[in-house]
Amino acid sequence: MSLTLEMATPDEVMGSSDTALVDVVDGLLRHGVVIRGELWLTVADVDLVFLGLDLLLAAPDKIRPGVQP
Amino acid sequence: MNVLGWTGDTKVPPDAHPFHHGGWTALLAPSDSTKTPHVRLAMQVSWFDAGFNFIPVAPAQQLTPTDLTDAACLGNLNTVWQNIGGHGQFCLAVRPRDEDGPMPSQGRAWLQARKAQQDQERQHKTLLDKIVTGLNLPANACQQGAHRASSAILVPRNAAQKTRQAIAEIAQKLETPQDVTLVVSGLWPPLGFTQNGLGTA
Amino acid sequence: MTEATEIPPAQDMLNRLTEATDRIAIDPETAEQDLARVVLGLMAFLRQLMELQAIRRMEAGTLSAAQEEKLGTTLMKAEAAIHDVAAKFGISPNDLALDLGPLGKTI
Repeated sequence: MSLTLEMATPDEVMGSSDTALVDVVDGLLRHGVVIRGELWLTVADVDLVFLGLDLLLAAPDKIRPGVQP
Repeated sequence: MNVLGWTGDTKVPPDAHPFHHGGWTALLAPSDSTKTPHVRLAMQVSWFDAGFNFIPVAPAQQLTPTDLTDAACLGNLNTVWQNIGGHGQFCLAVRPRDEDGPMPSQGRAWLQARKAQQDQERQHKTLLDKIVTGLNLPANACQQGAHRASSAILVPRNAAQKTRQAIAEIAQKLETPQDVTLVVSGLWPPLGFTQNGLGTA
Repeated sequence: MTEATEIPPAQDMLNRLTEATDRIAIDPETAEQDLARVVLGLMAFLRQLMELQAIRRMEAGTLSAAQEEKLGTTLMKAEAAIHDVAAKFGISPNDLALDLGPLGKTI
């Protein structure tokens, strides 16, 4: 079992269609300063609907402790 | 006009429009030339490669100067600027060398195959954590998912070559549970190190 | 910068969900596709949550073999169905995954 090392410069990564490198770019696009953490639906550059995704995500046994997991 | 970053420096890239706000200079690019996230990232990379230091905005976001005026986060830029000025980042990712075979078509076997994938990702994460810890540089929380584990390390611009060598040395010594590839790319603008209490971080 | 916790809080996950998209522009030309991306993206996200929860239950050993079979089949078919519908709108599975970013597997 071994580890192969691949080194790439940003130019190589952005010009590549290799899945591994495309992944890197996808990851980077999401990073950086983010002003809003919300989702807007916009039409013609007009913000129409705001999706405040403040859902409560939890396992049922955490919400209702008595529930059969 | 899209905001691609902020700088505390007085020199700005020649193709950027400076916009002064709250003691900072926002770096703007004409929006018609930076419509897609990829183009925004490419422009950030070109500024970074030309030696300019700035706090990058997430390329996925299309930020306009109007958005800046209601941004309550400007106070935090100071801390971020102190941390990342003069720095770039390397992206590190560990992934299996061989692509997965076809998924089973029976329910239980399918679920177990998904679990096996998750376990493998966890192993990759452990491996990557070891590499990152060995480098002893500021690092992003390691993320696992989509068949890989990934992380970013913050590197002073002038230490890029030294860090590449250090990664190669560590990688050589590591025992891996399966055949994996470590993909190292950079030096990128420090996109992964801008979240010091900023925005939604 | 610290080590990631295994299970990030829901708010953090949602922030990451939306960081990638931020604004979904619904264009008159591509209205159907744009709306489909919102809906299918959320569906894919919820399906992923169910899958991860199912795996956790399986690990905990609280499921019978028959339950595991049924859960697996359902989740598998749900994924195929989402991908099928997405394909009809010319949306690739990766476009749905982009919305989810890395959070799917880190929940």
